[in-house]
Amino acid sequence: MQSKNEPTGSQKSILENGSFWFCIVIIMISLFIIWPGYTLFSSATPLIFGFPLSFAWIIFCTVAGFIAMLALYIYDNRNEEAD
Amino acid sequence: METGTIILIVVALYLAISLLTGIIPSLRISSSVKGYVAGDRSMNVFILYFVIGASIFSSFAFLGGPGWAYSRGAAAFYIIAYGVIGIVPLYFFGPRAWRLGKKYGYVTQAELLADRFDSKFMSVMLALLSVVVFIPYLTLQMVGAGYVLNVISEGLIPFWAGAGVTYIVVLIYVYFSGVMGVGWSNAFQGMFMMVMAWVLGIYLPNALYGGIGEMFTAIMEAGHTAMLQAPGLAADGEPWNWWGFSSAVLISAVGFSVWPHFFMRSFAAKSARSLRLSVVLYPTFLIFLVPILLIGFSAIVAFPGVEQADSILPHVLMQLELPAIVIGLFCAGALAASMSSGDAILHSAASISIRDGVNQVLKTPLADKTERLLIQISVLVIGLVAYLFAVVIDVSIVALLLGSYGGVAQIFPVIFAMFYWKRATKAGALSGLFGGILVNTFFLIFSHLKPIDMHEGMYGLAANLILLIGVSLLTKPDDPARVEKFINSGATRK
Repeated sequence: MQSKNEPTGSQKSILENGSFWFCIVIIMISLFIIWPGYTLFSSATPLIFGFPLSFAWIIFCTVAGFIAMLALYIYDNRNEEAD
Repeated sequence: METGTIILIVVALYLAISLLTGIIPSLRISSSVKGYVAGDRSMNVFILYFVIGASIFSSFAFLGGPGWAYSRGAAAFYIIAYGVIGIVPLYFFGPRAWRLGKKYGYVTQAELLADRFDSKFMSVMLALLSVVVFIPYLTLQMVGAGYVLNVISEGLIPFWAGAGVTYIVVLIYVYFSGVMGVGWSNAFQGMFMMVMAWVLGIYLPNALYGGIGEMFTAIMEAGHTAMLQAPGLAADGEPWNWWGFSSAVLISAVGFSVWPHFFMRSFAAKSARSLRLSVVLYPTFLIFLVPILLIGFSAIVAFPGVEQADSILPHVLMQLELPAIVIGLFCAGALAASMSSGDAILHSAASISIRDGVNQVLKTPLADKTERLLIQISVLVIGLVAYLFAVVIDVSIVALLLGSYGGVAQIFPVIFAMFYWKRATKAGALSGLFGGILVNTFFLIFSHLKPIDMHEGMYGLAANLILLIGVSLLTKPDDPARVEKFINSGATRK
């Protein structure tokens, strides 16, 4: 989504764009916290560190989202001018 | 000393510190509208982090969150789930809004949209929508504050006095310091709430069951396993369906980043990078909802049969016979939750109603000094109106607020189109936005007509997208010079 300002004729493939991969990860996370992805982790057992699987899964997804955003932030800071 | 006195002293101390942290920044900001509404674009990561984070820690999170966990089990996870995807768009929208704001002087969301789509009408309508949504929202925060003080003091502090005193403090610092007062007091309130949430969330399962795992095992042994299975229970106690859960998560996530009071904090950031970092750090704040839900879960087996689920937290605290100072601290924590959302809403409602509403219908725009003064006066008026609603509260206000989530989500497609879709036109944006709001409102009122049991906002969004895309393609493109300004607001690549 951040590629709008690249010089036209850029040869960079979309696969080299960090934002692209970030969006894929976020869409995956989205599908794993609602139907259908969440149905795989919706049961109460086993308890993970004392938390029901359904609860632990949501916490895990929150942490995963945090790591994805942090990675994008670092990537963007390398590739964009600060303002 | 008597229990009541100790509680009062703790609460009074908390209110005094809130007032001080809220008032002091007024000495530093300029006396312009930009200073009052956007803090002269000077907020650093520390303040922004708390401003963005504390907005979810409202009375709803502190009282409603445990209430949901107590009565509906896993359904409460939705409060955590939507946040992590809901914040993501702000990572992309925020810096763009910030750059445009710095270059062209914008301080509100509607200003951006009205300029992109060349429509004062849109600005005024968004201002109206904001006020309609914000007043009940603010009322609920006041109700939360008054309620907690009343229950915990065992009736010593009447409801009207609790809500009144708390919000006089908020009114004072918002009136004088504007958004920077909101920012600094939120930093204090945010830290305070976090500590209270963790202490209680870990203490209660341990004190009542001997540990978190033991607590969940006890819930299952008591025959409540279905509660812990996602998506938990519906309001009537029957298992909730996936349509309901999924659409509630999605619609809250879509609406999250475009709530006007939330979105406009982008303009207050010191730099695009500090705004981004605060957004990135947001999930760390979200994790603080975990102990909040644990509080609710801890009451399922230990205190069954509490009718009013939202009162579960004060109820549990009163049963445990904790030291007065702990109860006082908890009281202050609940007030912090209420105030840190209430102040932001109050400030935004006043700013938006004057800048995007009144100022747009006048023939000659207001002078900066007059505009600022009018915003400050609106802070008082809106605060008073919400308070009047709070002391004569009835259920319809809660319903109004719940209905507003679907309405606010309708702003998302036009914001997205503003930054990323050149071909979007004025007619397309207007018909999408208002078509979406109409459909949402229709299914909110006539919910039995829904084809599938999904959140009404999803139907609104579908209509919104069809209208936005369809009408845009059928009408002439907007002036390219104006459109480019918004499309090209991304960061410069190295």
